[in-house]
Amino acid sequence: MNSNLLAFIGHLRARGILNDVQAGFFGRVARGELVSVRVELQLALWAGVTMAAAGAGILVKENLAQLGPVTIGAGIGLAAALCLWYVVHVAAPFSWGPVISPTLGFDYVLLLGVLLIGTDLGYFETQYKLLGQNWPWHLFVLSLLQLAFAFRYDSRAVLSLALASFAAWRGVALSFPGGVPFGQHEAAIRVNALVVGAFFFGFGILCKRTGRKAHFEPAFGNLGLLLLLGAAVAGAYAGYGHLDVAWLATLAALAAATIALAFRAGRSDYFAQGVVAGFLGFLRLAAELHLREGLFYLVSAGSFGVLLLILWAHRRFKEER
Amino acid sequence: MKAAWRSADRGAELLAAAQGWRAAGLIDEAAFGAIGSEYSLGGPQLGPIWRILVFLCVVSGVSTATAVGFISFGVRSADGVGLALLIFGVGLATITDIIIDRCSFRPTGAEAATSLLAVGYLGAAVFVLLDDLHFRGHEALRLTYPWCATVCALAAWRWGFRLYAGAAALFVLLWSTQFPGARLVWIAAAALIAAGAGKVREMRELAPSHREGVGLARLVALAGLYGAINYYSVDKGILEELGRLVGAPRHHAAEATLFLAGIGSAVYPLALLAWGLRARDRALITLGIAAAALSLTTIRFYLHVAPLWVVLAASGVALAAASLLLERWLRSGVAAERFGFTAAPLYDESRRERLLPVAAAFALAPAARVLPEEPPGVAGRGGSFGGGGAEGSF
Repeated sequence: MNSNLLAFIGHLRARGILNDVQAGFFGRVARGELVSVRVELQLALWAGVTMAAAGAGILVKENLAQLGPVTIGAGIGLAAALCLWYVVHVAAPFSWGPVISPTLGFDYVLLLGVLLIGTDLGYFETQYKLLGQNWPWHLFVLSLLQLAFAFRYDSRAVLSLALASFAAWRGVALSFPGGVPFGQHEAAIRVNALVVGAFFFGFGILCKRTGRKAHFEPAFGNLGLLLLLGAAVAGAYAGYGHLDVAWLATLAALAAATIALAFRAGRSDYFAQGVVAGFLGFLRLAAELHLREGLFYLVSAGSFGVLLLILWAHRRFKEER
Repeated sequence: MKAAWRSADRGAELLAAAQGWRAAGLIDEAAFGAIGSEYSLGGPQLGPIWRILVFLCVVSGVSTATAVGFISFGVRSADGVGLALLIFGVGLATITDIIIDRCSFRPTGAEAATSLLAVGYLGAAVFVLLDDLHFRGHEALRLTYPWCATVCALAAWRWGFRLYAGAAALFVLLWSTQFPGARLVWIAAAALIAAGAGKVREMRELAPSHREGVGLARLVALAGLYGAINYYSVDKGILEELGRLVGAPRHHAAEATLFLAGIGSAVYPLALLAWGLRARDRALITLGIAAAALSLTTIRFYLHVAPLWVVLAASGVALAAASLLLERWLRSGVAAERFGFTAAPLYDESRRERLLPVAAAFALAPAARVLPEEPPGVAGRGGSFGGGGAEGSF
């Protein structure tokens, strides 16, 4: 029982701010007589979908010889079809605006269906070599399919999956630990990450400007920035002791532009990414100066300098609603 | 905790409740405005992203400033380092007090950073000083663990950071592994903490952050209790290993102990779940489900009832289906509730609802392909399909 909240509700009722129904309802929650298990159910759904998708992946990997390709392919396809049948059956009509999920499990069933399609597609590509040397294009096809599902059924989860598949097609892994291209010879991946990041960011702006799925903009924008700044940071830190000036300059330019644009647009999520990337660039530069003990002075002064910048920026920041 | 802080803590809880009601559409803007003008619910607040930035800057700045202090004053010896850490720790604790007391924005992230460093420095100081006094291994840990538990408990009590209360409980449990009969001492300590925390949690005059801190300590103790009675933990002697002296023989559990552990692994999660449902305690329900999942994993570890893909796919589908059916059952009750449980959001949880499926999608994202233009000798990270740890290589 939350006595603090109960007393508050009592005061609000006495002052006429809450009516009897509201006070009664909030009072039940504060006394612990009514509890929502919504988050727990969602966690269970998440775990269930993850386990089912992992099981399908292991089935494909380990049981090819025993069950045969047609059985496996058809089995997974049938499971995907069942999931998507449910989705089509309960989905709300299409809208360019946000659509509330018709049921708690809607997003997760859609996600499982799309994941199973991906497993099936990957499996058939491995088995029958439909695209031959161009097999990575199946990731591109998959990302387009996932994007279509994300837009039709207004799913941020499937949108994230689509963006991850698109990046995977360009050789950029969005999952840790695969997604940190620090190696000296991984410039090609970093350049791809820059291009993909810029594309995502641009697409997000387009969504917002046109008002078509404008609420998808943060997903596009944050992931785009993460790729842009992440690639630049990785480039600045690659080289095993040798500083690549071009990458450091890229990082400095990107971080400065991000901070400036985020400040103008009132986006604290973008601002934070710009500040962190800029500070990492500063640390890389400080390490290059070989100051020994002086490095600690510099980093300490830099940290407090950034803190002052943040506090200054916060006073003038107008967060976008 | 000072009276003013306690009052601010209560105000923050009420503000969060009012904001949750408004965001969930349970009260309108007019009612929220009236609440705001009627009650002073805490001062201005920094948003979470700003607090994280401030936290990172303060941690980075203060820890490097500490190194600067060592260099500037030529502190090299172990006793000097230990003493300096002790002084810095006390200093940072004072600064934490000042920030909480004086700062118009609350919370700022800075007080979390300085408190974390204060606790870390005070813990490290004792370890370094004991090392200087030639206390090694168990002797040092027997003194360090209770010291760390005390520092964390004081930090939780003084500043109201709930994480320190959980850490204090954990240090007490770790301390118990340093004595003969480690598992029994651990069980006794965990049971005492859980029972004590349960009693304290019911006290009416407790500040909200203290109540949550005590709740976390209780959860840590109950999780620790499961860790002590789990079959795998008993079989492998995990707790005994934590306190085993170098060169001492490994602990082997007796048949009777393993039998009891088997019963405990089966009964304890169900008991937790039943307790949670009866008390309508979400934390206990979650812990019960997690313990049940771990017990099932333990069974799978010892008994290969079916191939892994069957176990994963079947239990995954069963879990998802059970969740959907449970939600439907709750929704179909009178006023969309049954026995005091509902699947409807009571406060605004839209942010968490948005983030969960996105996290699921990233966890299951396909691996990247290997770029064909990469020079020879470069290992790419991709070329596979599947997800959720079940990728297969091309």
